[in-house]
Amino acid sequence: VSHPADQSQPGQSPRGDPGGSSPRGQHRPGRAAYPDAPPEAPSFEEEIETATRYEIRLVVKALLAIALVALVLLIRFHG
Amino acid sequence: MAILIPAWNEHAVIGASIDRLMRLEYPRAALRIFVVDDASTDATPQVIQAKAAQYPGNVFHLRRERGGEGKAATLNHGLRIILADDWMQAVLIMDADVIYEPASLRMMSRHLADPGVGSVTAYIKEGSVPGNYLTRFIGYEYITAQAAARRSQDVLGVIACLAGGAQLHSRANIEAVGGRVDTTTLAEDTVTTFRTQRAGRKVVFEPHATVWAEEPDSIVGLWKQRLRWARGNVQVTGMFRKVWFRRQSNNRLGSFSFGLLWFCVLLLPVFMVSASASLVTLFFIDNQLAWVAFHILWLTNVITYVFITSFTLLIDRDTGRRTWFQAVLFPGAVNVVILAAAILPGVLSWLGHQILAVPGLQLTNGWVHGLELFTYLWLAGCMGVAYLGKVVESRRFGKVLSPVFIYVGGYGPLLCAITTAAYIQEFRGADRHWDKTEKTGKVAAHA
Repeated sequence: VSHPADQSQPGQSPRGDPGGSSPRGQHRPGRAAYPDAPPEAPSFEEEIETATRYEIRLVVKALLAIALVALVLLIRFHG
Repeated sequence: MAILIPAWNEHAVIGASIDRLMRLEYPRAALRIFVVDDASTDATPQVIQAKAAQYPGNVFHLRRERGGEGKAATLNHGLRIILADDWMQAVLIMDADVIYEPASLRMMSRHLADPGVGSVTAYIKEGSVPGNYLTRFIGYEYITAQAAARRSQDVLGVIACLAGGAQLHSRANIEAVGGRVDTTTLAEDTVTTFRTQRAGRKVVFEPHATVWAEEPDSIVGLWKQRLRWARGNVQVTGMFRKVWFRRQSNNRLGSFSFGLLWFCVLLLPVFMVSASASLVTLFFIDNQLAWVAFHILWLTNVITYVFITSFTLLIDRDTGRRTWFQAVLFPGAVNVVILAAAILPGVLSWLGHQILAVPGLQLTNGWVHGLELFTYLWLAGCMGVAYLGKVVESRRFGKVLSPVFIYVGGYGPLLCAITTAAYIQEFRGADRHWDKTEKTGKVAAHA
């Protein structure tokens, strides 16, 4: 069950209109994230970017949590 | 895409659930909802039939005249009917009350484009409105258990359990696991997860697919639900006994990391009682050595507590804002004080002197030894105190006393007490009937 958006070429919507634009309005650049997505909906590429940013933020958050642990241990042994 | 919903007396929630599913960002022509009505005795059949008339070709009412055999048997009734038709290429198994955010199903279904993926699960969040202290504990627990733990399992390449209310399977996978779910244990979702991976297919966690669920708002309700889960896990441990710590050619269920993860959760009450008994014994043999052992143990706890709590609250800041207080007191107030003592022993000692000075007492060696012994005993005793929260809940002043016991004893220790009860029930061979969690339709999407 591949998503219809995955089957289209980059820059095309599932219906094949370039830039993911619909007859009614302006889609954001890239492929529509799902069939009949409204113009204001994020494109497939934007969703992937959001997911990537989430992954990077997870790393930063993990590093912050590790830094907090280090701080607590510092207080314990040198405080 | 077939959506399979088992329903027994769900008239309060099923209509709204179907309406929400029909609003998902998913092509309506490719969506069919099958509600398996497990001989409901309320207005559930009428509600489903009304929705079938409202959404012709999208909603189907599957009635079981003889019900009460549990969720797994209800699901199998639906799967048998759905699999008889070639139309279905993927099936989403969900609960009647959960709320899927509009993008969730399409985000989950993307993964099935890879034929190596058998199943996909979503991020379940607690969404009761209005919530209480217990639902906030669960809200925090779910960030840890899913956004953190299930996510890390996903990275490790092995998932312990698909969320029962959000499991998407490819047709090929459902057929490969026998076209039905397990009816011999109380954890049919975990068994399906294991069988999927043993058949060589991947199970994926999609953190961006959010599903809101109503969880119990009373300790008695939580106890019933979690006892079923814990007993199911004990049964699964035995059922897959040839898997643990044995390398498999096509999956990572037998890996050391997964075995460690599984048994650390399953055996946590054993570790707590063993640690407590060992420290108390050592106290009477060599109390200096006991103090050193306690310090090593509790510094490990401090590291774990600080990392898990801070990381969890950072992962999902919206839920974190609602549940930070429960997050801090997750191990229980007394355990948090012990953790603080492990970090700042001087400050706690000073505080002890100040408190005892008020009634004119002094922090003598006798007091110190007494406190040490109490601390060692509390390691296991906190489970008993948390259990008291369940005992008093339905009694006079229970509404006030019960949260006090949970905040003092700890929500984590309460879960360990439930696991202990699961060991006992399994050892005694207690009846394996399905206790359904009551749903009232008070769940709402918070985002």
